[in-house]
Order: sequence, then structure tokens, then C-alpha cells
Amino acid sequence: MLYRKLLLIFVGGLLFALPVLLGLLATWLPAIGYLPGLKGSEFSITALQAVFAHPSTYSSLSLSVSSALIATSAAFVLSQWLCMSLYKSALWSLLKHSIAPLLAVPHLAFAIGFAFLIAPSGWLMRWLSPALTGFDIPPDWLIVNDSYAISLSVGLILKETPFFILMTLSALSHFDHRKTLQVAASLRYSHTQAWLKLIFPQLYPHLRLPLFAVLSYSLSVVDVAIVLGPNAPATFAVLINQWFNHSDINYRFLGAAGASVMLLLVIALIAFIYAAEKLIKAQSQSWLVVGPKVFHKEAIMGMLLAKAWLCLVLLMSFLSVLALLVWSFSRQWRFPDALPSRWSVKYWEKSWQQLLEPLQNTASIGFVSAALALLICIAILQWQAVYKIPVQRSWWLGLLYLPILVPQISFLFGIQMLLVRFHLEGSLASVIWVHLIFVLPYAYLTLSQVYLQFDERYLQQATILCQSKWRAFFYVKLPMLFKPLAFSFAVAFAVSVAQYLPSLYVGAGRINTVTLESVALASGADARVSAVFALWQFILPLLVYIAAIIIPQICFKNRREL
Amino acid sequence: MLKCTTEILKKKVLVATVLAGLSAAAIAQADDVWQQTLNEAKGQSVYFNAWGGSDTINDYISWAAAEVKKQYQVDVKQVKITDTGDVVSRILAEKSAGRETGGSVDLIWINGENFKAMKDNQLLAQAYTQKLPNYALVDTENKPSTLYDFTTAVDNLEAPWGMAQLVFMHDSKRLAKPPTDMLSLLETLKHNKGRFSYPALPNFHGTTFIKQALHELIEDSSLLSKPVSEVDFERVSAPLWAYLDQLHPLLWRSGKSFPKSAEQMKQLLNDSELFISLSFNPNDASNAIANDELPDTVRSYVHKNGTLGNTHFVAIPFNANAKAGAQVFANFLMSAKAQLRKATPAIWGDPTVLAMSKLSTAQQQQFFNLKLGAATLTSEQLGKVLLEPHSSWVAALEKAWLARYAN
Repeated sequence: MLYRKLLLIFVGGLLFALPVLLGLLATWLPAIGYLPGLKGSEFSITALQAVFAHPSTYSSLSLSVSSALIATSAAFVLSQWLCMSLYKSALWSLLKHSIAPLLAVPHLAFAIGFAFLIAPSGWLMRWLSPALTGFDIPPDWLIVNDSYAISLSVGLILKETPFFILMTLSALSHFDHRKTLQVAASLRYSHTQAWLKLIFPQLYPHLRLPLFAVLSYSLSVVDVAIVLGPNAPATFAVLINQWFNHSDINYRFLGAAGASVMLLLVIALIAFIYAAEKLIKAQSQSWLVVGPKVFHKEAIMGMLLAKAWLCLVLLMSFLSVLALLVWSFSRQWRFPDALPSRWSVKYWEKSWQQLLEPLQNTASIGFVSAALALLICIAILQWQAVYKIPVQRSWWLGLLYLPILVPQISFLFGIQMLLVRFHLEGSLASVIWVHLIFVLPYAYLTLSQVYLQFDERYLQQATILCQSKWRAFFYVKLPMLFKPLAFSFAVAFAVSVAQYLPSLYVGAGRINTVTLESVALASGADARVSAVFALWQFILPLLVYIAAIIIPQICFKNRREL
Repeated sequence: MLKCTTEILKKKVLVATVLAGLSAAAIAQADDVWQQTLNEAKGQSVYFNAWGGSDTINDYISWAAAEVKKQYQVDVKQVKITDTGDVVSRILAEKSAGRETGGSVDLIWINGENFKAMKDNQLLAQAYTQKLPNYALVDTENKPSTLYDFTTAVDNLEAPWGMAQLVFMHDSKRLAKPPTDMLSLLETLKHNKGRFSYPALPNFHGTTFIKQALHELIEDSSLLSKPVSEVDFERVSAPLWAYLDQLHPLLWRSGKSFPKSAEQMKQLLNDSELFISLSFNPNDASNAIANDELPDTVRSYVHKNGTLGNTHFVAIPFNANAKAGAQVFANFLMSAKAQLRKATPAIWGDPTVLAMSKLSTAQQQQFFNLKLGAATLTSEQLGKVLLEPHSSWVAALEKAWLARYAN
């Protein structure tokens, strides 16, 4: 029993964490001056010193920290507030059903569309002008790429709120929240009180890792920060990326050192949030157990605000995609026209020829990595189910999430160096492998709760009936879990499609994906072309999400309970 | 014409016969070597790493790839990159991993600091352009930047592909009279606050704008051809910073945010957020008008004392997998046919590196017949080409700029 447990930890750790650790190590070496091809074989801290001597470092670090903290905490609080306020209200099912499409919009595509929407020459201003604003040329307002990273934070809040909601819904299924709420109501707890005092403390342990993951992502995101973030100076992750790509090759040392600083920063911030959690927990101990306080007014205002906010999130996401759609079909669209003056399908037609290969690559990388991730997750989860290893309180769970907790930029350079050393970069297989690193945790994250809650008695019954563990597993357990499996596959696929840095660093430029093309063309910034590519980046995961919803319905038409 | 060629041919034959072999043997040998390269190249896959941010350029590269596939059975694949520095870094990673052959890059579109970085770090293959038959057509006499890439000696390590010159574009509907130099740009912006900007450094176009300003404002521009370590940078660059301190409050977003790239500036010009933009391709404005990317009221202009110009090249890395194929493609890119198509405004409009005098009369005529768009300046109007400063200036300017405006 013990050795099996140890084996599981070993295998899981190896699969999930090892590439990250190796990548980190291979990044740290140049950070302390060791990069053989570059006359760097002596250890020194000059690179680190150079990072802090760089004029942009401090302000860029503070921009990163502030935007990441604001975006993460706001998205987290908003998601909790939405779940609490809208629980079993008229909009509850809207909330539940809007998550998949919201998550399907890739960050980059959303950012491009959002910028099209809110810029001074953006779509919103085009609607209002000139009739309401009097502008026949766009005002010189600093909205997108503002120097306080506000537009970046807002963009991230809009994009991360649905992710937290999804995690909350999945965490709710962990315990009998209905009963808790009923009991609380009978004890005269108001809904808000019951939620804050009884539900949230049970939810939070399941939300901790997603919270850290979002924090790490917001801190280290490159593509979205290029589109929405400040640029004089840029956020720290963008700065590091500039150093890695600087025409003066010696900046690679700076990049490696900066990447290591980024990792320390993430660790520090996670520690900070963890400490804050402990502090709040300690401080609220007495408040939590003091029992219900009778309020006569239930927060109707809060409910209305929550509904308004949900609608705003949905509307902004919808309009951002719509803005992409309109731009993609335009030929000529000048300010302040509300719609293009000339339309064209030229850019779609052209993209089809240009994108045939990238689309094939993206789809095959996505399918293979998602399928592999699902297989590995099923194997691990089945193991966990058999030996009753719970998902929470397993310290090795932290290892599984390492690839999404550690900022990509702080270890991908190292992975690139290692792959190059063994002549492995630039092949489809290695890109699939590096995608798998990032896809696995998400597949596990979306699947584990449902999978481990599966009532094993079905399986036992089936095993007795058909006399075969395997047949029972394939004919009973898997079909019963088909829906969550399909959803998990779709999430994994979407995660793979959206990968930018991994494809860039490992593909050696030979494995072109839609996302790589999108960023390459977004640097060209012809709005029409960018829009078409951003939409392609969205269409692929959307199709898979739709399939994940429809296929189980078709397959199990005759089994309503599934 | 035909008679003339026959005449020359006769002479050639005669000379060859008279010299009984020596030069003929040399020519034949060169032909042999090239024939060998062609044979070797057959069936090779050439990964051409080239910036992929422009649709028109990507289309041109696809055409060129199809041509060499047809003529020489060489399979060229464009690897669309966002930043050439990134590719240099990849080749460096390969070198540091000890990969001497079978590298991931066969040919790279390059110039300036990236070329210098590759040359200094021995990341380039042996000198090769002298072996390419079409290299003889390049106008090395009148286009010094084909021999000195941002003052770094080219030494046949990279093949000239096209010429670039800094031009400004203005929307004549919004701004009837464009500025004529840096000082009048300042005056213009006082009446049109926020309607010009330049990409934040280290962006290539942003750096170019700063170099142009320095060129116009520095007391003694001959200092620019020296390495920056040999001059008193603080003192000689002082007029530039004084100027930028005045300019920035008048820029787009009051200089607190900058466009990401010259391509984004084109979009902003279309959106009327900007009235003035800049480009390194003299034909950019006409091309964009034809594409409905810019209004037809956009025109090009240059500053009265000239603007910076340079050459862009293709180079082969030291560990390229398909060196022969890369040479064949580089040679094709320098052919009259490929250069003519590249110079065609509706296609790309990138000026040629070839010398007209070295082309056949028919080819010359084709170049003369190219129709320039309304927004394209003639070579006369383009005026004087200023040479790029010594490449060491870039790092110094960038550092000083970041310390002042991006901290």
C-alpha cells in the first residue's frame, strides 16, 4: 500500500513536475553567468546586477505586481460574489451555461477584441461619435496600454472571473452545500451569512491552487500584456521577453536572470496571499462561530448589482468577439463610421490558404496532447480511486500544478536549451510534449472532483454482473463519466490551442500554430488580418467545446440520467 | 540588341580561345561549382526565417518559394517570426549546445545589429555571396550600404536583398503641409497635439527615428560613423535629449504610451489617431492605399537634408542544414526577375539592390516602366540617403532613452 502510494507520487511528480524543474535549472545556469556558447563559463552575479541596474526594472516590476494583484483579487472576489448572489436565482443557469463559451475565448483573441472595443478609436467610440461626442477624429485619450496597466487589469479580470466561477462550481460539488444552506436557513442565517460563514470556508481549500495559478499567470503573461499592457515601460514579463529577444545576444543573460527574479516574485506573492489567508482565518475565528445575526433587509441591491455585473462580463466578452468579427469582414473602416464602409471576405479567403498548415498543426497538437493528458489523468485518478488517495491534502498535488504555478517564462528558455542539446526541438512530438506539460494540470483540475466522487458501487455491481473489472470499467464507469471526460478534453484542447511561448520556444519556428501566426500578425497590426487570425484561434476550441456538449447528448439520448 | 549580344559572345569565344584556357577554365570552374551547388540543393528543404508581420511580404516570399521549387526543386518554407533577435538567440542556443550541423535555420532575413551580433559570435556560415552568379548584378559601387551593413563590413557573409529608406507618411486631409525637418515637426505638433509618435525603443523603427533625430540635431554628424566609445556620448547627444524633452509632451498620449510598431502606426494613421507615421519602405503608403489600409489622401515625404537608408540582407547560419538550397534561394532573390517583382508597387514595392547598368536593356526597361503610386516619392524626391551610424550607437541610445522615458 505504502509503496504503491510512493510509486504514484513518483510517477505523478515525474510526469508533471520534472520538465519544469529541469527547465528552471537550465535557466538558472545562464542567470548566474553560465552559457557556454556565449563566452560565459564563469559563475558571477553580474547578470542579476544588470537586471536591477536596468532603468525600466523597478517601475516595470511594480506595474506587474500591482496589475497581477488587482486582477487576481478582483476576479476572485467578483466570482465569489457572483456565485453567492446569484445562487439558485433566475440567472443561475445563465451563469452556469455561459462559462464554457466564456472560457473558450482565448486570452489573446479576447485581448485583441477588447482593445478594438475600448480604444479611443475603438468601436464604442465609433458608435457614440460624432453624434454624442462631437469627435470626428478620435480623442487623444490614454485608454488602452495606459501607463498604470489599468486596461490590462480590467482585461484580465474579465477573463479570469469565469475561470474562478468554474472552479467554484466544481468545488461546490465537493460537499453537500444544499443541505448546509437548508440547515443554515432553518437556523435563521441569511443567505449571505450562510454563504460567507459556512459555504466559503469549505470552498476555499479547493480554490487556493486556482487562485495561485491565476496570480502566477497574471504576473507573467506576455501576449495579453503586449496587446493591453503599458509599454514605457512594459510589465516585467514583457521586459524579460524583450531581453530574451534582444538583438544584443548578451541580453540573454539578463533575460535568464530576469526570469529567475520572476520566479522569486511569484513565490513571494503566493507566500503573501497564503499569509493573508492565515491572518484572515485567525482574525475571523470568533465571527465565524458567533451564529446568525438577524437582518431584516436581504441585500436586494447586491443581487441587482451582481446581475448587472454578470451581464457586463457577458456583454464585454460578446462585444469583443463581435468587434473581431466585424473587423474581419471589413475592407475599409474609418473613424467615426459605426460600421465598415466597405466589406470584404478577402481576408478570410486569404487566411484559409495561409493557415491550412498552422490549423492542421494546432488541431493535431491539441488533439494528441489533450487525449494523452486525459489518458494519464484517468490512469492516475483510477489509481487514486482504487487506493482511496484523496485529492485534497495530498502534498503532491502541488507538484501536479507546478507547470501552471511556475511562470512559463521562467523555465521555457531552459527547456529550449535542453531540447536543443539533445536535438529534439522543432519536431511535432516535442511540441506536443511541451504542450502536455501545461495541458495535464488543467485536465486533472477539471476532471478530478467528478471522477473521485464516482460511486464505486456502480462499478462493483457491474463487475459482479459481467465478471470483468475491465469490462465494467469500459462499459459502465467511462460511459457514466463521459460528459465530464468530454468537457475535460475540451478544456485541455483549448489550453493547448492558446499556448504561445511553449510553441515559440520549442517549435524552433518550424511548427507553426494559429496562435504563433496571430501574435506574428498582431505585431503587424493590420486590424483586419489580426481579427481574422484571432477568430481562428477562437473557432478551434469553440468547435471542440460544442462537440463536448453535443456528443454526450447524442450518445446517451436513451439514458436520461446521464 | 541580339546582334550586340552575339557580338559579345563572339568576342568572348575569341578571347577564350586566345587565352587558351586560363580564364575560361576559371569561369568554367565557377560554373562547375555553381552547378554542383544546384545539384546538391535539389530536394533540400530550406527553412527561411523571415519577419512575418506583413501580408504583402509573406505573399511575395510564397511566390519566390514556388519559383525556386519549379526551377531548382528547392523547397523553401517561410518561418514567420516576430523578431529576428529571437532567431539569433535560437542559433546561439544551438551553438552553445554544440550543434555544428543540422541547425534549425537555413536562411535568415537580417541586417544591422542582428547581423553584427551573428558575425561577432561566429554564428554565420563561410562567405558565400561571391559564389552566387547574380551577386555580380548588385550595385555595390553606388549603394555603399550593400557592403557595409550599419558600418559593419558585410564580407560576403550576407546577400543584399532590398533597399530601405526612412520615409514619413502624412494624411493630407488632416495635415496639408508636412514638416520638413525635426524642428518643423515640433512646430507642426504644437498645432496638432498628439497626432504623431514613434514606437518605443528597442523597436527597430523607434530606434531609427531617434537616430534620424540625432543625425539632424548633432553638431558634427561625422562623429556618428565612429564607435560610440570614441566620442563623448553625453555631450554630443545632449541636443537630442533636449529636443525629445520638448517633443514628448506633444506626442500621441503625451508620450506616456507609445505605438507598438510602425505597422500599428499605419493602423493608427488609418484611424486618424495619428496624422503622421513612418516607414522604411518608400512604397508603403501607396501599397496601403491600394489595400484600403490607408485613406487615399495619405502622402509620403522626407526631411529636407535626407533620411537614413540601409540595405536588408539574407544570411546563412554556420550550422544550416541546407546550405546549398539556401544559396540557390538567395541567388534567386537577387535575380532581375525576383527583384523586379519585389519592386512592383502592387506586390511589395521594395527598392532593388541591382545596378541598372548591369542589367540587359529589356530588364532596365521593365524597371523604368514600374508605375509608382501617387503616394510614392521618386528617387529624386527621396533625396539624400544618410548612412546609418556605427552600430554601437544603438545600444547607447537605447539605454539613455529607456533611462529617460521608460522608467
